[in-house]
Amino acid sequence: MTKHNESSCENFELRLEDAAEVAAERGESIALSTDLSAHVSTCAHCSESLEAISISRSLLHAGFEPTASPSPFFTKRVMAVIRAEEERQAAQGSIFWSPLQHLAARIAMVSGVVVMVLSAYAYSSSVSSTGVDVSGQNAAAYELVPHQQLDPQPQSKDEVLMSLVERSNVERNNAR
Amino acid sequence: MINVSHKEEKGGRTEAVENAAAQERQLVRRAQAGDVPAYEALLAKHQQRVFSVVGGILRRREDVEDVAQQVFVKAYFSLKRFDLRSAFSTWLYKIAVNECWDYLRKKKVRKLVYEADMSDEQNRQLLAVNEQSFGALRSPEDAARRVEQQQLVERLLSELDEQDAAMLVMKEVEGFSVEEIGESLGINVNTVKVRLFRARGKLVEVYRRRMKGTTTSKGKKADGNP
Repeated sequence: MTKHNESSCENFELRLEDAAEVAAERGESIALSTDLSAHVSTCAHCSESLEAISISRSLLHAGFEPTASPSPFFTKRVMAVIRAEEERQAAQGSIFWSPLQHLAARIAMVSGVVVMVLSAYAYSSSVSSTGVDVSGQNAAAYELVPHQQLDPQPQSKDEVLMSLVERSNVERNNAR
Repeated sequence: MINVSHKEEKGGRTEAVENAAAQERQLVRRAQAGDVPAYEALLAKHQQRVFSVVGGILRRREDVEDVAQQVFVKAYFSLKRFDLRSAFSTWLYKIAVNECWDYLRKKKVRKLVYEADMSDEQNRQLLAVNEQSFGALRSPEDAARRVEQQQLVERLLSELDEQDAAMLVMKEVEGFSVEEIGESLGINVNTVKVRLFRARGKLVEVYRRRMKGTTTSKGKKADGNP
């Protein structure tokens, strides 16, 4: 037999592997083409390689069987696991947001109360600053002094003096 | 009798393959849109092949079912990220391979490490593997012997690179083509061929080493007898 020539044998190695693939597909022994067979008969390395292919196939076939088919319930099992995982993810999502929702509700309630209080305060402040009295309390004040009309507030000092003079004239006339 | 030319037949087959691929793409799009029955149809179509991929790598029935289940669950939740650039099967088998490696990593059985060599009895059983046989065992005794042989061959495979061992089993036992192995493992076809070739050589080398060991111990035994 000839010595192993790496460069030429590499090509034959791949062809040997191809021959093994064809044999595996057909469930037959390895069949070599004429030129491949001629090379193998003269090359110790490729001859050993062919033997290795044959032995390895035998070992693996003796040691293993093809994986059995899935059970008829496999699809149902998988879909059940998927559904359970979807529910778990949904629950996890609500668990994450629930405290925030609770906090948001409290903040909204507190904000509402604060707005009401501020509104009431703002209203009472505006009433006391203008003096325009339409409330019940001020109506009672009108009844206590029915004959006395409440004058509008004076706008300036002159008006204050004028009102004092008019009042003194009225009192003098009343005294006569 | 209608004579169909080889070209027409080949063209017909190609058209059939393209139609099947188009139908599958349609199913995938529907599943991506949330159509559960569409995903169930994909599951039913590919489950055997996924079992074969997983079985080729893990080689233990109880592990195969669990991991195959995990593959389909993971595929379901990752489906929206699948862009249909490759075939659905290619994408699915890659998930299967990755799940197998992850599973083995977690189980810490990437390499079966044996503290002691195989016993003489185990070596004799290995020698009993008929080099010409293709494992057609029928009786219960044969089934038990087959289980033992499987364990022994597993030990031989454990001395190979994990991926090379998986390729050998996928090729010889599960019936995958070189192209399918390349797609599943993300390896070029020629690289698969070269690695298969070398893995076979290594497997036989380990096998012969065991045989030599048994032969030597037999000789010693004989010498040791008074």
